Amino acid sequence: MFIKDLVFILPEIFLIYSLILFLMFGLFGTRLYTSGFQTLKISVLLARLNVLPIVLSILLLVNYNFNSLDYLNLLNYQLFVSDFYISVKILLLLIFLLVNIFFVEYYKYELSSFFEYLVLLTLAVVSMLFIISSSSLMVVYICIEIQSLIFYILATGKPFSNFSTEAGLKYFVLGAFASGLLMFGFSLLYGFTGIVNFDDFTLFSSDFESPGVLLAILFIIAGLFFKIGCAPFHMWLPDVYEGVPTIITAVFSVLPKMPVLVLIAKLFFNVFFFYKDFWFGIFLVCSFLSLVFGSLGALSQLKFKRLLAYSAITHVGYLVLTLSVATFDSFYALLLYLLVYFVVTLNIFGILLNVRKFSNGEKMKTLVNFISLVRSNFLLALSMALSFFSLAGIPPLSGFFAKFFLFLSVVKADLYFVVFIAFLFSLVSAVYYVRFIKIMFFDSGFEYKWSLFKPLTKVQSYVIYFTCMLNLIFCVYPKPFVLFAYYSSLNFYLV
Amino acid sequence: MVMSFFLTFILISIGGFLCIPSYNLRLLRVYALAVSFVVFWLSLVLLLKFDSNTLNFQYYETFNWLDLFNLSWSVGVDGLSIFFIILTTVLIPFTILSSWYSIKYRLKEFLFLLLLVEFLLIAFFSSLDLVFFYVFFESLLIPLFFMIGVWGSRQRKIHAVYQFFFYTLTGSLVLLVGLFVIYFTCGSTDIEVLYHTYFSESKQILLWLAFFLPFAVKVPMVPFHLWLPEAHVEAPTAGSVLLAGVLLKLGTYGFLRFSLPLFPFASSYFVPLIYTMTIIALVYTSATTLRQIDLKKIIAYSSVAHMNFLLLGLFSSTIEGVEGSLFLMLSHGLVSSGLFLLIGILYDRYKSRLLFYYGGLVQLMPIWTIFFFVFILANLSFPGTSNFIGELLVLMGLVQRNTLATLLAALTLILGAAYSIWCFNRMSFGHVGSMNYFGDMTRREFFVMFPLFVLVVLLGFFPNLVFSNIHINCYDLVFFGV
Repeated sequence: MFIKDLVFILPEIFLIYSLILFLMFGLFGTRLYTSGFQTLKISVLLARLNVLPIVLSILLLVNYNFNSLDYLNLLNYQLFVSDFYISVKILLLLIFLLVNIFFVEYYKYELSSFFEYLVLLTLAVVSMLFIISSSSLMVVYICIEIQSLIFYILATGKPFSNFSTEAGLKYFVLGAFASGLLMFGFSLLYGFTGIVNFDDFTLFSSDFESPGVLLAILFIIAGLFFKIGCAPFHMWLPDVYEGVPTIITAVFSVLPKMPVLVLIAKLFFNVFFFYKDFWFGIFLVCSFLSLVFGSLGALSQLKFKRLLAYSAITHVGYLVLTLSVATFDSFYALLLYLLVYFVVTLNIFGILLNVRKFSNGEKMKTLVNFISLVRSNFLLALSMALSFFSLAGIPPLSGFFAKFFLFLSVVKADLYFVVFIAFLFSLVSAVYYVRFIKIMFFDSGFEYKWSLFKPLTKVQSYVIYFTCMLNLIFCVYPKPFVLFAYYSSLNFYLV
Repeated sequence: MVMSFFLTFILISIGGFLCIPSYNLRLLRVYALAVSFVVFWLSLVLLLKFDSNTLNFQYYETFNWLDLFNLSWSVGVDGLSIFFIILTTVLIPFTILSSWYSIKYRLKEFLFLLLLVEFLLIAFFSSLDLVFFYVFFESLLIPLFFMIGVWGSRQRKIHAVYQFFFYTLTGSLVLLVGLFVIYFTCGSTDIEVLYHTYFSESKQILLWLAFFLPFAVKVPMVPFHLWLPEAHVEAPTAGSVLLAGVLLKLGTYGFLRFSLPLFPFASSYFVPLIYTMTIIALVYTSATTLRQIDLKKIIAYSSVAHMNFLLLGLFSSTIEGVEGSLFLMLSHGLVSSGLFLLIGILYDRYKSRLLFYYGGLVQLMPIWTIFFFVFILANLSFPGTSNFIGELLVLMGLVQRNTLATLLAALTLILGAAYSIWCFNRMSFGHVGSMNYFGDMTRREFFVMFPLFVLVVLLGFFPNLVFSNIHINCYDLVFFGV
């Protein structure tokens, strides 16, 4: 039986073996460095090679041909696999693939002597894959801890940068505290019920009406919301986003959202669904606070990454809003919103990471720097503007339709007042998105001289083109996106 | 088949336009102009094959968009929308011709935006689904945002762009809530389904209000009108023409298409509100026009007055009023665009839009003055011009409902005459100001203005060209409103 179960975690095992191989290869390569080889080449080579195991593990995942209602409990009810989890894993690996492609170019300019970054990140992704399919508190906690510990290391990316060190320290202290809360919640849950398995808890949840369970749920919410950066647990986010190396910002803003949100959905739509009256209000308040802090905080930001950080808080607010509704409609709205958010965010980071000054390879930091982008590469600036319009939710871009289905699900649950508030804040957040586009296109900016940029490599521009086209094509042919979200959530609910 | 061919033709030709290198300015201009002419010709084919004796949507087609949620993009035209499509296709060649030399930088992007706006407008007027109505309603923001912001004339343009953007966005977000409610009431947003749905009276009132805000912003009615003078003044000539000619009609078209037939109870319930708001707007904006110093602001405020005037007819629920206001929408689209084009011609020469610097133009530019005179006459709805027919019918419709309102609305005829004649007098007669350029209209500019002039006079004498086609739909709207 054990061997048979291992078949279904083959992609993870494969990724782990490949990363061990790459680690050894990298160490060997850095040894060569002392005898004359360049490390630069080692890291770039590693980033290029790493595409291979990712693609192969995607293929392995595709290979599991689950029917719509099949499911499997693996490894003595520690893991749970069904079609939904497989497709979420594929999505996660696809995002990781794009991030990995960004790494190839990034290593040429920055962090070039730290090939471990990619190896560590792969390990984090493996733990995320386990989080997605976990079905026991133990597995969840261990995997979240692996992921967090790796992220603390990644955050201190530039040892000589004060910002990065500060960000890493802040992230570590606060993150450890949040992990403590999560652990406390899990142990309370175990102490009051004696159950660590999700399925068992779902079965017996109506028997536990002690306040201890409610307290445990409260702590679990605090711990998990910290991980996705939902207000009021968002304080670390702007500083960390700003301080860490930009590629790690890209990683933080796309990768951990998916598994943690799936975990929250799994916990609160199934396991704790009996206590919905209790957590519904908390989710709603948290979502409201995220909308407030995210959209008001971003209004006066001058640095690009801080703006993105606050915008991420706002979008997490929308996502938590769908979670609070906790219906079938809200779940596919959540998946669709996530999908669109990933596409748009990857487009923005693709541009941010790959546009470098010709003279010194510097990236753009503040919003006003982008004036020079629109002068020298109009199409890139246009793609950025389209992404920002999409984030603001202007039709016919994909962001509008994501918001459309999201609000549709909330209206369907008769939460009219909530929708009104959310609309109000989407209007406020449109202000700063539009302000950025205004800075890019309309400001004259004589003091920011035109600068020459390094030409984009072909692969990077393909990534940017691909994400921009996905953003545009949604209005014409939304079926694949919507059907993906719809059938995934159908599978999530039925299995 | 016809509509999808029409829309795909525009899209494909836009794609072809993008392939032209941006340094080949002449080819860009000629290509864009040719495309707009072909589109105009195609829209005339639509009119030619239009059956004026049926209530059904013609050239009806459905594109399956998301059958999972019962959302599909239906397109089609009827008497209410056909002339808006024609108005769009008429105006686009003129906007291209008027920005022939006056756009000094990024010409390719500008012409691309013009063609894109044309596509979006035609798609807007022909879509028969509330969701797509909303999508095109709001997606028009993006091209106009760039058009005003990038090619606008002064630094004030950013202020104007913000106002334009956020007024519209706020309004349309309220519409979105109404859309959701309708979607959950009917299970569909197709207009044929909606026309056969009865909404309860309390729901009608709420939904009407949700629909009212975006349309009132677009019309614009008076508390929401502040974006319009700013946007008109700061936009390049082509942008102003589009704004005044077609984009203001999105609001009234929305009333005509959705508010009146879907919520007949609420529409009659809110008639006092509409009358009060429009009459305040009429007097206020007409008086404001008299105090303006910027030529474009004069035209802008006078179009606010005209648009509010035609709302009176729209809500009079008489056949004369509704038809008159529809006619006035079209004729205002021609007249105010003509005036903006004329101002644009002046601006190309003298680089100023301030009334103060102009005077005695009849000595410098006689042909220009003749055109200006005709369009000013049309603006004050002189008999023989198209505006006259519209205003007369609106007043005829209104007087059957409310004599007091008619009396107050008729004030606008006097005030309109006052500001139009005042503006014409200041510009054309008197001492020659500080102008040092003595060129009259060029041939290109003449061929921009002459067709518009012909259209204005033609519709003034043969209004049946329009009425014969819209009759049956307006009759249905007034007497058999669902």
